Amino acid sequence: MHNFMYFKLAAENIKKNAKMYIPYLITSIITIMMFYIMIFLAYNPGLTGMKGSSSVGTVLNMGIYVIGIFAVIFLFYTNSFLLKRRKKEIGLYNILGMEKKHIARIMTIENIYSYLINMISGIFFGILFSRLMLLLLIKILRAGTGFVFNISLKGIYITFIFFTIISALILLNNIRQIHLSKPIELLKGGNVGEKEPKSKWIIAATGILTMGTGYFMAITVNNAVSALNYFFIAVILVIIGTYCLFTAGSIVLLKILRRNKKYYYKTNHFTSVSGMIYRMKQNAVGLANICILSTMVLVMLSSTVCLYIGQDNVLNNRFPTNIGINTIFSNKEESESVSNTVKKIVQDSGYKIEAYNEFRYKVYTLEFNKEEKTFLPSTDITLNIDKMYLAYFFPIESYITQTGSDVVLNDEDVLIYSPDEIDISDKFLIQDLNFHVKGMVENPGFTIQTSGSYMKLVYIFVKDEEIISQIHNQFGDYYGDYYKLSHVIGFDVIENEDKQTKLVSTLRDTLESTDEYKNLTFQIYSTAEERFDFYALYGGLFFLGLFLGALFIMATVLIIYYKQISEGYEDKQRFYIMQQVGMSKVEVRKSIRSQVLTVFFLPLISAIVHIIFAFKMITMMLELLNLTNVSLFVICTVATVIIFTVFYTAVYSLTARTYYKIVE
Amino acid sequence: MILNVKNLKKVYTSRFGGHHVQALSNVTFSVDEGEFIAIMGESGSGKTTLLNILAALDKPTSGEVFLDGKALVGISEKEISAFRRDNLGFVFQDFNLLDNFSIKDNILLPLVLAGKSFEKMNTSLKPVLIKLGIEDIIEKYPYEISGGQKQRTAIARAIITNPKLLLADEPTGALDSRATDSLLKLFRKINEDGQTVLMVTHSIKAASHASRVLFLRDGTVFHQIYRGESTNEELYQKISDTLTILATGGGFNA
Repeated sequence: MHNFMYFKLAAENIKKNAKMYIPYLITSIITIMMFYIMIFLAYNPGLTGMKGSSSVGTVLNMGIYVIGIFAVIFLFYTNSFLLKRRKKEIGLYNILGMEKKHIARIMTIENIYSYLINMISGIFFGILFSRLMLLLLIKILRAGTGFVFNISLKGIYITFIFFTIISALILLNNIRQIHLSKPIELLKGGNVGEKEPKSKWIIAATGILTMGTGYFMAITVNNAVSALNYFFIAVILVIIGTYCLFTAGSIVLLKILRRNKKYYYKTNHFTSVSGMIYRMKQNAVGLANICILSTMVLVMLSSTVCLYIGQDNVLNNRFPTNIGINTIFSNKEESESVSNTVKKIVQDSGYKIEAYNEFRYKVYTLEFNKEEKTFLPSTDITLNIDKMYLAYFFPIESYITQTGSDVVLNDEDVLIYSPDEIDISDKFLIQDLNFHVKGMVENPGFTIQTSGSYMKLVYIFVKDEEIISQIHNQFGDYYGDYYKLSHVIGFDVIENEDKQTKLVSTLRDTLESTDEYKNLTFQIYSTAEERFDFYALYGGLFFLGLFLGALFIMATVLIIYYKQISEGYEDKQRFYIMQQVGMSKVEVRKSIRSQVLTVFFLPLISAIVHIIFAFKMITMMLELLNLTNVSLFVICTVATVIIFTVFYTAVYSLTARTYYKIVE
Repeated sequence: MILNVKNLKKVYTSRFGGHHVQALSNVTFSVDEGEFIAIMGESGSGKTTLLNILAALDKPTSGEVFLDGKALVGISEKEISAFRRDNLGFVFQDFNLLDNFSIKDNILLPLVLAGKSFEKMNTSLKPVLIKLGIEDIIEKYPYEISGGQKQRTAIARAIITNPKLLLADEPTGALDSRATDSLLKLFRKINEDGQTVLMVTHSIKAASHASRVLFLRDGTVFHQIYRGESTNEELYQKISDTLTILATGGGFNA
């Protein structure tokens, strides 16, 4: 055969199969485009100059890997779909006298065509849209003008290499499939009826077991650290469970229905049960894919949106006041001197101090034994995380100055405050020392900066610092010999953030250069500065969530589209036969419609069920990130689910039109 | 008289009204209860169109069809499926079995659609299975059995409702000669048990099993042969002769 023929045939094939090819090309182009844009953003020179650049960089880099892995799986999947649909055509070529090597040659040329189209347009649109994405990222990060718009040669290079390798692998796979198949099988293509599998009970049982375990883990988890530890395991279990139940569980269930003769041999049930068995056999894996992708989209979008919107909540949790000065280990005199200096600096700068608070404290992680009402130093935090308390000890004077209370404590008396539950009301021990609870406090008058809220929190107000050092001494070497307390000053100034930042740097310079304080270690922060880091991290995550969400949604759309097409071709004949045997057009249409609806909305419903079960776990992990606003997360999740459902339905009805066009 | 066809005419018009194709020009015939009619004719003679109209799958341009005294043409779209289900049985060249049903369920399909109880289905099923000799394969699936078995299943599905008329469209078209023979014997047997059969076919052999053969040409009944006392072989010869004359353009007057 003349070489020119091959090129012509290959081009003709792509044109003839446009209905299948175009969505595949569009998906590949978009995937390549997004991959390029991600690299462009992650390696943008502007990033290095930005505040919080490392967190954004990490997040964006993660995005590159996710898209990369996704691209491999997804392109292989769609390609296999394409190949399956075209088996008949290939078989025909084979029977008309083309050898397999000729077919392979046509296939190669076809793949080269699509490769060229994908690569050129992918990178072209990548460069085109990278600017838009850059603007979006800057907007989300509320970053300045540090970013540069350029054509990322590195991006083009990596994208080119990566997708060339994928395309080559796909081509090899196609050629392998052609060589393995027999022409008669190719001709029959999808028409060979699937054998009833012997028994799917074992897989179905595995599915129930794994899914059940995953769900159980998710709803019984009761603290943030174990949520983090178990999340990944739970996710994997649920993914396995989803695949098992979609492939085997559905069929086992339907077969049980079929075995019930009284139920099965009713007009409605008869066609729908057997129709569903057939559909689930053909589509189970695809549907499970849709389900998992949908779940990912929902989790990612709801949590990143929530983090982004809830940034201020996080910021407030972590930094109760606009400006904070923490002196680690100082004695009483030093603390007094520091606070005087600070006040003086602020006043000299002409600002007014608001919401001023100051206190000295000592903090320990202690394990609380409920039965014996005893706090003990703990050796293993992660093991006994449920019993662990972050115990802050304050002299009562901090409480008195904050609240104006006139409480008087004896040596053994304490006041207790805890935002978490604590089973303590009368007497308790700290190791060997006896204490008596004089009262539970509703509001301690100040919030202390904490690194995280994954442990329960308790404030214990004692008579004076002498008591605190007694407590410290009996712990021995365990918490070191720094018996000095930490000192915290926190206050707001009603000024804009620029001025706050300036004030903080004055404070920082003065305190750190004063001779008197050269033995002290300061931690000085302002929310104005911290905000940048937060925007960088959560904005980066939000951006990634949107970006990957869009990618996954596209994948979902494509899978739904392909499913509708293949369903359509298969249903056409059944539709016709049903009418001949005495079902009216309306009845047939109704039956098919209800089956198709079930098939396509099953993944969405399962995804929503997954989300509901995962909710508690995700809430706890968000707590670890200092986001404690559960109602915000509820709103974000519900909103995401609603928007996604609307979108899903829209995609469904659009593709359903293609389906009905084929069937009728 | 179970079927009465009067002056049937069917003209197909292409979508934009440009072309008119006359599939049936004027078809008139009637079928008595218990007859086994074969309709023969070349491709394009209007066989399939006629069958589709008899099956109420298509509507004639003009003319009338009465099945057991009831006019088919006026039936509303709503009633038509129920009518088809209760009065007509179909056997097709390519079997038209549904792959997702077992053989048993394929046969029961019309009864299920008619909303019969499961007990009633079972009582109807037994004799049909015995008559067709397919008791052993009822748990299998269409893709697991031979062509002959598929066609028997299709016949079982068609007669399980005791239809007034069994319509068959080239039932032997996709079968080898041995399967064809045994299938035609089966049709004979069903017919002898009292089932009225109307079969459209190309095959002289298939037609030679009928009690009467109608010849269709250019959309009209051109000629017919009654079996009378002839054997299959004699009828075969007569059909063959008729077809030769038809092909060479001789003029017959029925």
